[in-house]
Order: sequence, then C-alpha cells, then structure tokens
Amino acid sequence: MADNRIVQGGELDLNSDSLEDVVVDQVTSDSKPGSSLSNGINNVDMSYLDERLINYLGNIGGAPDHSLSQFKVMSLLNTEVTQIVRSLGHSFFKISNLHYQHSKECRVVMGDLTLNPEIPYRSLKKAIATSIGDEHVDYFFEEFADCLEITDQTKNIDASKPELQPYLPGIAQVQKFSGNYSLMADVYLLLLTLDSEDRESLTFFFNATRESKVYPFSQKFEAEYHLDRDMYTPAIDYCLTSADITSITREPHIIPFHEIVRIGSENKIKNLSEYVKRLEKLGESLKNIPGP
Amino acid sequence: MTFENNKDIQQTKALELIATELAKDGYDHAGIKEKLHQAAFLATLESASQTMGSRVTPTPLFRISYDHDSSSLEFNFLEGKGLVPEKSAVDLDYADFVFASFKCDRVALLSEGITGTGKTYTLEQVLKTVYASDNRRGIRLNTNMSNVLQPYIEGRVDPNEGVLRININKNAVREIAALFIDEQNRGDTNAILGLLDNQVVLATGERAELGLLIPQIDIDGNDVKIHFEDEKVKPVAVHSAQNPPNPEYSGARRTDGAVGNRQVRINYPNMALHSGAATINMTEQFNHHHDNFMDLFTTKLANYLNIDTQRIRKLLLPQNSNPEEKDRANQEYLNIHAVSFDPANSQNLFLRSAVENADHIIMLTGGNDLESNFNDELEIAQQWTDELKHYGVNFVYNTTIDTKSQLVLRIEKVRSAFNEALIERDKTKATKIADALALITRYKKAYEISREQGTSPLDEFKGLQAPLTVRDITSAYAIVLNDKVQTKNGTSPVSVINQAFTDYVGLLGKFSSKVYDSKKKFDLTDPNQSIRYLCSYLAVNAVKKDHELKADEYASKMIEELNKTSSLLRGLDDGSDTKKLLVARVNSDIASLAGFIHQYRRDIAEAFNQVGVSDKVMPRYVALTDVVKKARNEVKTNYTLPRVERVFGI
Repeated sequence: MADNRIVQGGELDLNSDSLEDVVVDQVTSDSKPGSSLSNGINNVDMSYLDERLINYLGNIGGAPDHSLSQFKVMSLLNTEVTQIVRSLGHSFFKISNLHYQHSKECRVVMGDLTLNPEIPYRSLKKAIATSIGDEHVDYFFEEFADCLEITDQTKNIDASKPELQPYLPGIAQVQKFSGNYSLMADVYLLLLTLDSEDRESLTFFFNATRESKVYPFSQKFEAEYHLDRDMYTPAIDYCLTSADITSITREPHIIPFHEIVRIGSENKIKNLSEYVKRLEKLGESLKNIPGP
Repeated sequence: MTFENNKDIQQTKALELIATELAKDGYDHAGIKEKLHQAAFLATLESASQTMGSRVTPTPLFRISYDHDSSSLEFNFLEGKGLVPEKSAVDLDYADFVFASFKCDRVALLSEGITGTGKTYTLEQVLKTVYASDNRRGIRLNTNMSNVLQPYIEGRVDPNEGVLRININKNAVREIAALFIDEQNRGDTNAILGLLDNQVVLATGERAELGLLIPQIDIDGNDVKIHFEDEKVKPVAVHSAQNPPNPEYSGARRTDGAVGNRQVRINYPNMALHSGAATINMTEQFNHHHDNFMDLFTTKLANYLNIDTQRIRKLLLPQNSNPEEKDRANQEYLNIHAVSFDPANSQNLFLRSAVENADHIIMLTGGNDLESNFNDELEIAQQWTDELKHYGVNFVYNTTIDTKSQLVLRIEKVRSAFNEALIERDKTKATKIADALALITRYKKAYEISREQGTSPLDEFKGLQAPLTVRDITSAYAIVLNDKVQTKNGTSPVSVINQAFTDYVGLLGKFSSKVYDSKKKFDLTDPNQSIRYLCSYLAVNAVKKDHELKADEYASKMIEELNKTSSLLRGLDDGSDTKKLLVARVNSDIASLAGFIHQYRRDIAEAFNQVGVSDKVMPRYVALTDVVKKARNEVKTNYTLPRVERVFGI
C-alpha cells in the first residue's frame, strides 16, 4: 500500500496564457477581510469618522464661552440617541455653510448641522436593518423598494422623504438637533462638509495620514463639557479655530504632498491626481470661509 | 508475543499450490496476489449468498445514484424498502456491509433496531457461513456479564503460589476472525473499546493484536514460499447489535461516545412488512452453513483460478471426520481467506476531486460554526496578503456570509443535532466506509454487467478497479454524519452532503471553464479534475520554459499566477453562502502555496534548474511536489504547510 492514497494528476491541455485576461485586485495597507480597495478608492473604513461624529454630537453646543452669540447646549450624551446616531452613521449628517464667529480669544468655525438628504443605498439599508433586523432587510427592500421609489441602488437616496420616516425610527429625534453650531477642534468634522463620494475617498487619505501620525489628523480631541460642573474651557482649546484652518491650508492640498504620494504609492492608487484635486478643492473652500 | 511455535497456522499447502500454478501461468508476484484475492473474494461472496439465500431476507439500507450526464448525485436511506433497480443506482444491503467489513480495515457495524427484527439473526447467519465455529465468537452482554475479553483469556492456578493467573489465550487471539457482541448497550459499552482498536490488553499489561495472521507469499521463479510476520494481521471483525436506548428497552443504555465513533451504526429496519410472507420458508434448523459454504467455495475458487478442482478440494476440505483433519483443512482455508481478505487489498487511491469534495463537507460540518470557519479562512488569506505585499498580490476575499440565510440556518440546524463535533476519527471512519462502499459498488456492478453480457464476474470485477470518487466519499460522509445525528426529528445530513456536492461540482465546472476558455463538465473519474490542482499546475506552467532564473524571479512569476487564480476564483461564488466557504478555503490554500513558494524559493529554484526547461509542466510540478514533501519532514516553522500539502494531494 502506497504512502500516499491520492491519485496524482498529469499533463493538462492548457494554453500558457490561460489567465491572461484575469484582472487582479490590488491591495492597500488599509484593506481588511471584507474591504478591499481596487485601483481607485472605495469601501473605505469609515468607522473612525463615525466615532468622531458621535463624539461631536455628544458634546454639541459649542464652547462654554458666553461671548458666542449662538451658544446652544444640546447634549446627545443620551445613550438611546447615541445608539441611533451610531447605527445611522455619518452618511445621514452634513455640515454646511461654514463661517467664522468671534469668541473672546479667537475666531471659531461655525457650521449648519443638518440631516444629509442624499445618502448611499447601503447606508439606508444599514439604518433600516437597525430597526427591522439584518435577517429581514433584504425581504423589506424586495417588498417595499418600488413603493418607496428606491429602484436604482447605485444612486443616492433622499433620506428626508416622508415615506421613509416610519422605517427610520429615531431620525425625527435626530432632526431636532439641526442647527448652527461651532465645530470641535477635530479636522475630521470637515469631512462632513463633503458629498458622499468625496467624503469616502478623502476619509481614506485622512485615515492614512492619521496612521502616520501627521498633525492635526492624528489629534484625537475628546471634549468633555458639563455645564453643571461650571468648568469653563476657553474656546481656543475646545473649538476648531481659524488658526487650525490656517495650519492645514498652509499645505495646498491640506495633507503634505509627499505624504499623499506615499499613500498613493503604498496603496497602488490609480489616478492619484484626481484625489489631489479633491483635496485641493477642500483646501480652497476652507481658505474661503467667510466671517468676521 | 510470537507465534512461531503455533504449528496450526503453517497449513499453507493450498496457498502454495495456487501460487505455484499461477506462477506457471505467467503471473508475477503482484499478479498472483491480485488474482487470488479477487477470485477468493468473489468465490466467498457467491458461496455465502448461495448458502444463505433461502435463509436470510435481504435488508436494503442505502441507494447511491449518480447520473453522469447531469453530474447529479443522490444518496438515500432505504430503511429496508426494496426499490425498482435503476441503471445509475446501486443498492446496498446489510449483508454487503458485513462482507465488506471482512475485507476492509476495521469497519465495525453496530446494528440498532427494535427487538425481533432479525439484526442478530442475519449477522449470525453470515458469520456461521463464512467461518467455522472455532473462528467466530458471540457474546451476549447484560448487567452481570460485561467481560468482552472472555474469549481471549485463560485462567490457571499458579502451582507455586496457589493463586489464579489470567493470561491472554494466544491461540484464541490468532484463531478468532469475527466477534459478535449482542445487546452491546446492556453491558459496559466502554469495555469493547480495545476490541474495536483490534487489541486486547489485560490489567497486567499483557497485550496482543487480534486477528488472523496474513500469510506472506515469496516467489522466486516458480518456487513459492510462504512465511508469516507477527505484525501482518487481518484485524478481527467486531460487530454488535443492540436495541435503541429508548424507555421501552429499560436495560439499554446510550452507547459511549468513544465506542460510537469507532462503529458504523446501522439503523436496522423492521422488515416484517417488506418481506411479507416469504419468511415462512425460512428455517433456523439447518446448521451446516460452513460445510455447505466450503463445498461451494472450493469449486468456485478452482474455477476462477483455472486450477484442478479436485486438487483444491483435497487440500481445503477435510478428507475424513477426525478432528485433526478438520483443523488442518480449516487452517488451509483460513490462510487463503486471510490473504484474500487482507484489508490492504481494499484500500484504494482517492481521486483529487473526491478529496476536495470531502474537504468541503468537513468545512460545512466541522468547527464551531460556519461563520467562524469562514472567518478563519479569510484571516489566513489576509495574513498571507500582508506577508507577500512586496509581490503586489491580493488574496483578500472581500465578502461575508449571511448567517441568517435559509441555507446557512439549514446547515447549522443539522450541525446542532450532532451528538459531538466532527472529529479526526470521523474522517478516518469516512475513509474506511468509502473503501467499503467502493468495494460493494464494484462487485455489484461486476455481477450486474456479467449477468447482462454473459461475461465473467471476475473479469468485470478486475476491470472495475478504480480510485475512489466523489460519489464514494460523499456517500461515506452521509453515513458517518447520520451516525452523529443524535435525535432525528426530521434532521438529515443528506441535505448538507448534497449542498457540498452541488457547490463543489458547480465551482469546479466554472473555474475549469474559465481556465480552459471552453465549457468544462464535471467528470466523476477524471484524475485531473481538481481546483487546487489546476491552480498549482498553472503556477508551474508560468515558469516551465524559464531557464536559470534566480529564486526571486521564479517566485515572483509563480506567485503572480497564483494571484490571478485567486482573483478568478473569488469571483465565482455566485453569492451562495456555502460556495463562499468553499472559495474561501481554496483561496487561503492557494495563498498558503504562494507563501510557501516565497519561503522555499531557493530550494524551488535549485530544483527547477536541475530539472531544466521543458514543454511539459509535470517535470517541474513533480520537482515542486518533492520540495513540499521535503519541507513536511523538516522542523516545522510554517503551520500553514498542511494547506500546501492539501494543494498537492500528498
């Protein structure tokens, strides 16, 4: 009886170029099982941005500086609401109308926080799954996609549609927080000013820059403001200020160019110039923030 | 312990006669052994069937159907029902398994069924037919009698110390070919563990391996010599019967797990309805089963071997009624029986497709749960991607499985019904059962063809010798997994087995079609059909014409090719959760091969440069296989190496 009980194969009638047409995926340092980046940038890990957003919403209201005319105190530290935000994710939120406002010490970046009307299909699916369960979500879309007029999964969906509200519990509560607030000293929040496509690709660059410890992307600002403790923190320590904006817009593309090339090279990103343009566009908009 | 002084076993004149006559006919050593074991096996089957035909109702257990045109496989539990024969199907009955168990390595049957169905009767009839009374033992257990070693021990009073000494009965160890334990679960089921492992061990530490010694045939020209070696033993066939451990059988206990996973549990059906009034003609009074059998056997054996019948009969049948003469003739028979029923003869090779499909069944039924099995595979692919990133490869399988899908839930339901997780012994058991199923299928087909075409069953049986296929191993796993299902409640592992087969055949077909750029259909018997074989072959194909490359250059080209096979494969899961498991498993094996090529690139380059350039792939493929074999014998530093061995089928 032979040692090996498995029949060995023989010559095959194969061409030498059998796999010539096979397109292979490239890998990036950020890829994990379940998220591969191919050629361009997609399926980016957005969890850090979500985390920053939750931190922001948990402390929303701006700096405890009475000189801020738009001072609001609306903490989202309530666990239930935090959970809602966590499940909805960043896609549902948008910051627009950036402008400066004076505090005692500095100029603080303010912006309008609203629900983002245009969200990707997968974000809507995730949000609905939160309420009806993962196992039923496919069935839900099979049955309701037509009447909710969600026919093209490649297009963004208007989450503010009244027809969708019953299936997104908690979204009405979150809507109450719409308003004009100062931004915390966290450059990640600037990503919320972008549309979904740019938001994803630039988050990838922000993530990679953060991992290589480039300031201020690597700075993790954890605000803890409690009115009842009567602890006043100067706005300059708490808020995103004109000085912070200047420090990043000093670089034409927000991120140092050599860093962008390194990220592109290590992750074999195709069409890097396209992403450079997007970073430049964000930089330009930050340079032009109006205000006193 | 040695048996040099046991003169009884030296009765080998019939064996010498057969070997000498076959040598004269031009058979070489291997040819003589093959002819003898095939002829004696068929002669045994036919003679036993003829002896028992009017005494035993056949008990159909399984039907295995395979349709070559549609590549569809079906496995059915027949539960005693005789179905109309189908061209593409083989039906297996209880007696088939008993015959196969004599020839296969330790396929221990545990027949379980309600009382009075004939499970004990049928087995006893087979044993009485094939073996003389000295060569079979039956024990009936109860709460007071659980000493299953009784047939193998002898007691004597030590004349010096006046105490009772218990020793192994050396004659019994070598003369008992089959053991039947009735009412197994009314005694201590744990006690038969040793017997199932083919050994008896006393509390004193004395031990012996059980079974008939297998005569070894030496041939020098036409000169034939026979000798015996202590370690060449045909294991004793241990079969049991019991009532189910239900409340109505108050003395019947649940079988110990360690015993259960060494046995093949047969749910013995109640045949009363199916056999109808035919049993009226059956009688237990006739008691010369073995004599009747030997009369037929000697004639059939002589015919198959084309040796003078009278010469064979003179050696194998007692020439007078003296006990010594009976012993002599019986020992001549046992030696022929031991040679022809040597389990080594029933161990076939496996086709790679059979091994790959078995691996997918294991993936679906082993481990903690499907999701963690899947994630383990993803992790391996991810880690190799990280390790090999300087080659620019990506083995990452970017998908998830839906643990709430109907398909996954259905499989998890079967898994949760297992009395214990899938273990190594289950895999060994499946291999043994696959051998048995292949043997049974082969002789059934041989007789069917012979009947239709008027040819010799021996010629047909010889011609049907082939490696084990997906059909054999899949059916074997159906039986093993069915054993593991504790409470049926409509749960059958057959659905899992079918799913594994569908996944595998589908993926193999799609992958092959892409690689060959033409429609490829699954062929049950094609030795080259294997996903992993194709992938590894392509890697070597990429460098077959490269001359004197550096180690890194060979590695780079081969790994790049594997990267392409991985990419191709990962796009073929059709969104099926179970197929994703198969893709993930093969993909991480391919990634592990890429890792191996990187680690052993210097050895590989040296081997390739020695082999040289060729239009053929196999010279360098064999060289690469040898590098893997060499690595297997080194101090282990890479524990994904078994995956690479799996790729090469070694």
